[in-house]
Amino acid sequence: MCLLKVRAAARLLGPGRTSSRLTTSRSVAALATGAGESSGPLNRRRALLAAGGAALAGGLTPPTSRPAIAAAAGKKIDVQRLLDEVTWPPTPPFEGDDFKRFDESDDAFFYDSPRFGKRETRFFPSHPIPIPIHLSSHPSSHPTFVSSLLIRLQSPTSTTWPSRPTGPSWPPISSPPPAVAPPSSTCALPGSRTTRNATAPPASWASA
Amino acid sequence: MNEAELARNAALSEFAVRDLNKDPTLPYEAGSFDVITNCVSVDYLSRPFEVFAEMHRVCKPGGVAVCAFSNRMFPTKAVAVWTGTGDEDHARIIGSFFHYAPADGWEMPQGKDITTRPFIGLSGDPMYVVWARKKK
Repeated sequence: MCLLKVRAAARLLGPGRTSSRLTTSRSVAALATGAGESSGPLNRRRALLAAGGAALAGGLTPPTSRPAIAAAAGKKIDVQRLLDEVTWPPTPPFEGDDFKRFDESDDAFFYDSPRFGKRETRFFPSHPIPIPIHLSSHPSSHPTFVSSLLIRLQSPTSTTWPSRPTGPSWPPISSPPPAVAPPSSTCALPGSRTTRNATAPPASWASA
Repeated sequence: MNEAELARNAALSEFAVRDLNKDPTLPYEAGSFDVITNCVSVDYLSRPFEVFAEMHRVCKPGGVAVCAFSNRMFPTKAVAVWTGTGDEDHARIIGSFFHYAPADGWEMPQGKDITTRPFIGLSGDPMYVVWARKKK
């Protein structure tokens, strides 16, 4: 995964993540007080996602924050319990935009170039201290640590990113959102497709 | 995955390339598989209910379908409900696919954290599986 995409995603998903947490917390609170039935459609979905949260974390801890904590502590998630504690509503608790993608262009473009090898953790020799970074990490998994680390490391003065070796294990940039693309001098990889159009994020993301 | 990637998998006796977001059908006969796996790709399905219904169709009664997922993804291609939620939510999202597609088609979805951590105190990439058995 390319730095450009990760940084774009971090910017894109950062604000959304925050509001999503709040929504989730409200839903948990609503469930705890028995007010879930009166929630709107959006909260209905969040209510499902948070349905086991109250029992697991005392009510108000955002479910999305616990995996990172659990991982840091070396503890595993009780996935079976998560599934057992769900009460499925009569109809799927999703909305139209839930299965939209940021990049709704033809998937054939995205998957056109083979991505051989599976390298999820990489080291950056250009940095004074080699720091492992999960390049394909989703910022929501470690919203503060990974995002801030990536942003810090990617500042134009901190490293020499363009000189990093590239090859088959570095997949081309497929769909950088133009609005958040950094200057090409700081993060353009050879062969990257920086001009391909990317659709705007669904309007619901702003409030999701 | 594209054809070049699939072709490199020596374990496959055959393979088919299909954009399930365009055509969410599986080119196989009903009841023809004992096990169906989805490796870290369920988050890219924009029509998951149709795909899971298809998985149910091609699965043998008593067969299982397994979805593995981590917290890694190509975020621009993952669906919004996935990118906006965390690992625990993801388990439930997959569980909901089994629950609803088709209705009463799968036994209760099950799940497990199969993360491997080579050293004490060091956390590896998380890895989880959610699976369900097709009702007989």
